Amino acid sequence: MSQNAPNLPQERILYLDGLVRQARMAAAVFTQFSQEDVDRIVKPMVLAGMAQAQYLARLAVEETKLGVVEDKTIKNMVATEFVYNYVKDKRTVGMIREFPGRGIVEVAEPIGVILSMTPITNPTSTVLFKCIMAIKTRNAAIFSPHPQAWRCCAEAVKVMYETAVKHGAPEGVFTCLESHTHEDNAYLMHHPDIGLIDATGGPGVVKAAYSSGKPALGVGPGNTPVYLEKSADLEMAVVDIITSKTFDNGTICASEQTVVIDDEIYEAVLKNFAELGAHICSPQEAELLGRTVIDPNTGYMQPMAVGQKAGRIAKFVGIPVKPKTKLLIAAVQGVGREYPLSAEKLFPVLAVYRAKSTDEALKVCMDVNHAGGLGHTAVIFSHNDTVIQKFSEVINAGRIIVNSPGSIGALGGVYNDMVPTFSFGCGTGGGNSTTDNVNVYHYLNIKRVARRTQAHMWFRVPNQIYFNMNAVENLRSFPSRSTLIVTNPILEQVGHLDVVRRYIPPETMIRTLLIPDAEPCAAVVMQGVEALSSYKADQIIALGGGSVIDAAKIMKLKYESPQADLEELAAPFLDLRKRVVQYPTEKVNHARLIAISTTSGTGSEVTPFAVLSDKEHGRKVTLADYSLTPDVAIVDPQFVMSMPKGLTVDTGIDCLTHALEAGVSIFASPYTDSNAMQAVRLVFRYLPIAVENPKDEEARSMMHNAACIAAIAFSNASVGVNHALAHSFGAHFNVPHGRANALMLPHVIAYNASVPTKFMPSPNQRAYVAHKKYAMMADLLGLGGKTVDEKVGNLIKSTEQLLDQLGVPRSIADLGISKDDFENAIPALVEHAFDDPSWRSNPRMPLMNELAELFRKAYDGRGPAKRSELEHAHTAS
Amino acid sequence: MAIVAEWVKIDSARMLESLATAQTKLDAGESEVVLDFSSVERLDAAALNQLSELGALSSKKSARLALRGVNIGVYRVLKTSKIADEFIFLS
Repeated sequence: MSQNAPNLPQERILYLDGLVRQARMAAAVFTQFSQEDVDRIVKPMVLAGMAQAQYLARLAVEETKLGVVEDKTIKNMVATEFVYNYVKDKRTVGMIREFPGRGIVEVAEPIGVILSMTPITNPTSTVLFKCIMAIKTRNAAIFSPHPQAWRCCAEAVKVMYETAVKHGAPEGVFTCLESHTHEDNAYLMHHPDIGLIDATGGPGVVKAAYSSGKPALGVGPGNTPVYLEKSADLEMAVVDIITSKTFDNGTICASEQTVVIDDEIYEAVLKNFAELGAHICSPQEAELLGRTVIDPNTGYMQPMAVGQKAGRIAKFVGIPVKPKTKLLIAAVQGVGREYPLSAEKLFPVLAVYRAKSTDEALKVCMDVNHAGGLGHTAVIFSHNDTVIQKFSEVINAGRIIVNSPGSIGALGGVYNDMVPTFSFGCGTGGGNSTTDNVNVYHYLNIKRVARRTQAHMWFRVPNQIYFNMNAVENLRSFPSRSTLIVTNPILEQVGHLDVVRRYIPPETMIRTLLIPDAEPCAAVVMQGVEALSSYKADQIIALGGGSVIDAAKIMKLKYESPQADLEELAAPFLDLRKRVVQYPTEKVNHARLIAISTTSGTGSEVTPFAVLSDKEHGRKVTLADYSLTPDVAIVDPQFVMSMPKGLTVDTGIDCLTHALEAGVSIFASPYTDSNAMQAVRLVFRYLPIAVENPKDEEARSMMHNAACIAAIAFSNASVGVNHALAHSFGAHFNVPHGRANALMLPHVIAYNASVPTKFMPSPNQRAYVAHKKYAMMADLLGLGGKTVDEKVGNLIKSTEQLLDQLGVPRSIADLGISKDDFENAIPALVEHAFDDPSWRSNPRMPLMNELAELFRKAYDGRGPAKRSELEHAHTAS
Repeated sequence: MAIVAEWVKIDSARMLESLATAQTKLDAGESEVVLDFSSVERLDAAALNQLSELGALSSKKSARLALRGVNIGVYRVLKTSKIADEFIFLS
């Protein structure tokens, strides 16, 4: 330690080390104390401080020659009684606060040894205050008082220490340096066993504390501006200012320094001050006063004036005043070094400024605030809430005192409900770490015990879903004045549109909008919005596959909320509940959306997603919000009976992928599991039949249901890495979505079923369960297998057999894409796949090299020969 | 040759006396002293200081000073006071 105190003799170092060691031992013993133990000590300390308040005040005034015994007595009583009133019921040991709804508990941890510097201006009251805080928080303290206030502080420490130990506090809990030098302080500030420096004092000691590298509490200098605004209660304001500024001869650093008075009330205010015992200086007296009490070289107050009575200062300066003059008031015309009295004055001299307007008054207050008082205290007297608010916005002060005295107001607990203190945090403006009134919580390390919480989950589906053959007849039950049917020309040609029109109630005005059979672009959407607006539609019927239904969803959004910015709404998000961009809730129009699906794959009729093609930038934009979910879904197999074979396969595999991915998603829940599992079962059973025998009504019906059920699952549990890979690959090589999914599927199952390189953070799942979920699916399909690994293997095998049976290409190579082209594309494929939000709910967090590997496996293809190369499940059953 | 450790039961009501006994044993040249803290609920500052001195003495004499049955609260005191490293802890 001697490197921090090159000028300290060895015996002095031993002495200081001894003090710290003693405090460290006391602090260690203190850790065993309960809240009740601590509170049993604090109360008698407070009573002892109260009993000795006048004695200690007298000692302080005698030693420091500053202030007023009566006022220092009051300060000592505030430091004990008022502080006790605040801390008595506060929990500072063990569990101090609990937030049951958030699963968080706060537990107090003492700091240990606090090095406490105390000032000359409020010496004994600060000691009393800090002793009570230390005991309440189970800390030991070493006091280093201002050299000119040592004896009174040592006596205050003694009073507190003897009372504390008598009531059970550990011996050695307080010590006071017998005498000290800057070297002593520097040594202690750097001592490894000092946990916190609490520096209440001048700028030098505060700066030294913060420069030590130790955690420190330090107050900054003050220069309190006061705005006396024309709406204020003037008589009250004048009394309050005199009370505050003369309290202990103005030694509290929060006391008023410059009063900025509105022009309209200026004369009346000064007259009132004079009537109550203030001396209003002439311009010559003011100039003389400024030159004398403020050091012209430094701009700081002269020590000889600090804490002295007004009459004494006037006599010293040579200003004749009446006996018992309380306060010297001098007008200033500006703020800064050329106006010395605008500086901090810890004595009963007050500067006043006449302001022509509120703006000017606020600017001058800001000038005072910035001239040495940033972060400390400011005062306003006003009944105009707008002005008070403006003042609090522009003034940088930890305490903004309204319609009450600055000094006593800032202490807290007397004129307001602020925390009682003798240490004013001044924030970064004052070079401090806090703007708080320093209190017991600053003497604690607060530990937060955070229990695992489970995020709220949801299960949201359209209000009504009608299914089975001729479910479209239910359109009859939806009254509408004006309905717009959105569909594509092919569906009109095959007669589906006529079927739909047949069941719309006869009183409904029906219009039809034919749009291209492709992912909608903004122009198509706006065409629909114009039609809806023009027809004042109250109902939209989307008849089609995913593209048509998606288009109708976006049309509805823009029709109901024209201000919706699609580009902004497509912004990426990680968690739906915490997304930055919110979908509009204010609607200028209302239209019911009924979605009638004509393919068995996307399930768009029940999902909250819509894809918009951004042709200008050559990309797709996905919108996702539950407000996009159709109000009514009609899952009528008559509209898919004529689906071509290729489309049946591609959409069917898309449906299977939705179900498999929702089943193992980290957002999966029992609600989504039931849907996902059932959809898997239906696809395995009915998709081959629907492909082989398109006229099989049951197979078509069940596949249509499967698509809807799988979509319900992934609407609430989302999808996974398979979709991320398929989106990237499909877009790059222009491969239909379902086929792209199929090429990835067996590889992704194997990948997800193996021990992840990186786990996905998932508070909703208590363990890694993807492999077990796949095994459950295998069981549901009756695939056999004894262990989880076997079952997963059987699921992969069956999936491959299904794909083979459906005639899906076995590999990317089979699509005619050359190895070179594919390898060249892999960096871009990986980049896009990683950017795709789909994998965010995947059970395994994909690394980029793993995505590349999955792409390569898909290129090489599936099948028994290939599968042997796959990464098999290694997890314990 | 087996070393038989000296065993001192720490009486919580007379802790300083018990610790003095241990000091006597260390002074007498015992190479290993075990202090049985199993009946000690809490340490006060005097006992902690004496324990710290015992630790220093054992180091000086190259003796082993072991504490047995130390409860978690007392263990925290020894850790916080930074003297825990001077002892061997037995369960």
